[in-house]
Amino acid sequence: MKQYLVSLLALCPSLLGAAPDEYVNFVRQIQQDSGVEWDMGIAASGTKISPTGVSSAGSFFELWAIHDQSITEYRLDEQYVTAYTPNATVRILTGDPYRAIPRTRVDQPFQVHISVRGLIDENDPNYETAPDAAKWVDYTNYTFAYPEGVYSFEGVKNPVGTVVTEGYMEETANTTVTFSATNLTGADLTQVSGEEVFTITAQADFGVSATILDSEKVQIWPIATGTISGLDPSRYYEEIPPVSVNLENLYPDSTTYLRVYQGPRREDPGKTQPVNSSYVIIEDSIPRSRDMVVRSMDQYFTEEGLHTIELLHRTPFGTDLLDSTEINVDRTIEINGGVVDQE
Amino acid sequence: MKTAGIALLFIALGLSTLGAVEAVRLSGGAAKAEEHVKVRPRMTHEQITRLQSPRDPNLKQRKVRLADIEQPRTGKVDSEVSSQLAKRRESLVARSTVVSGASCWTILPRGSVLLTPSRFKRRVNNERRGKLVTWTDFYAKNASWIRLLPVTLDQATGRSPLTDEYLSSLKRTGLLVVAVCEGGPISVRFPEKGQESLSLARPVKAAEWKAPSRR
Repeated sequence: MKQYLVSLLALCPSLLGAAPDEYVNFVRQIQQDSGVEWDMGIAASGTKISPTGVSSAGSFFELWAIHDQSITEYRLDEQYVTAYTPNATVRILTGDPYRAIPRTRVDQPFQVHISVRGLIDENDPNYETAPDAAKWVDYTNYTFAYPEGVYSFEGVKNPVGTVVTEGYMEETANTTVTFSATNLTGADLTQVSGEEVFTITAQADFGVSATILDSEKVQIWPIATGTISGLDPSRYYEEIPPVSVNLENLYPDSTTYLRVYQGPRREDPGKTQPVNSSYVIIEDSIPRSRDMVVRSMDQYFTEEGLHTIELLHRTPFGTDLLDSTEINVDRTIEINGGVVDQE
Repeated sequence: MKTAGIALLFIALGLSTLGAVEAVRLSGGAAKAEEHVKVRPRMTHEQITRLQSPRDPNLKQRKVRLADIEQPRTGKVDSEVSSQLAKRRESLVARSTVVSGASCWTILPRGSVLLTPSRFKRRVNNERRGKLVTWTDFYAKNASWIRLLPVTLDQATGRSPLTDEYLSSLKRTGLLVVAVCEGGPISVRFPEKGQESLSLARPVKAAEWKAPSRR
């Protein structure tokens, strides 16, 4: 017969308002499958080996202190111990290295790493008698969209979400689930925001309710939008007028700016010039919106002819083109006057 | 003189123009990096839809509340089991066998007293004399009328039950017979006639035995 060490600590009965030696301590082990009960006599503290061991069905260990004359009973503690107790960890990996909370953008892929440990193997001789809690754990993936214009559930009482996946895992293994984009839904997916929650839960057994082994959430942010206004592509400009830039839902870790290059809009423009006064740098925990007017841009238009102004948004996921416009620059210098030659 | 004047004018104009249009760059490195930045168009709703994982149509309309995650859907505990546990937690004495001596008494798991000769019946589950003591102390004072019967776990669970012949032989001692395991009293199950024996889990290797961190 195999034996197992049970570490037991009898709480000092002096806490109960009487001398410790007036209390008699009992630790009783109750095997769940056989119902066999066993008493171990104990001092106020110490360790004892359980002769019956602990099977996959589990045992309750009860610690009682009973007053030797009044027979007042105190159940000081109770522990349910099983041979197989699942544990799980959930870790979410995104393209954003932000540490406070996993976060990403609606169009970006992310991975969920799930590690499940301690489940009983199907080939184990105890599999048939093992409780459900030892055989599998539940896996759920829910999405919760933030209310429009708000980037949290603050003030929202018990928000409603959508079920993406409900399943179970029955093997002790590491699993990686990859999503190419968010599972949130909406009329315009580029503008949705919310949370995806991944949870691993152990089954209920022997009067112990189901327990969350691990739960992780990832925040999903929308794709920024931006517009350039104040320029007419059909006009020829000697001086560049002030340019208005409207920015919405800028990613919490992003840099947004204008750049200028000669010629029409193209994928590989070659030499470009960033407009220094146009930089908008966001380092925050939620998306931000900005409006600005960029002035004195003449210095970026050195040559005559067609130029392109692009609005770029740089995030941990890469650089996106939010908007672009073309502008014609007329740099012909007309001198009205004459040269007088005097002999 | 006339030619020199024109040349000076053009040189002056040229210099001033150059100074006005020279781009002020962040730094040489930043500008170089800017030239090689890879820009992609902003993704559309349709493109994201195509990226999304296929959804189980049965789950599409199912709603869940955030608080449900904190109280998992599998959180239903068997009510019968719960009531059994609640009853068990009320009292240890009430669900034990009380054995009393001349000056003290103790409690044993029900089913651990295997034989009670008629002359000791008054001492079992009857009057209590003196103070409650531990089993060890009780046996030290009452060893003369108690016979300890060491049993194995298999015998206690009924997997290898004690035979009737063996129990009958114990009757001849005329003592109160208490089953013990590792010095502690233990209940003994006897297979009931007409009922299938319970399927019991075997103890597992100590290395696989884990503390229930989740509880």
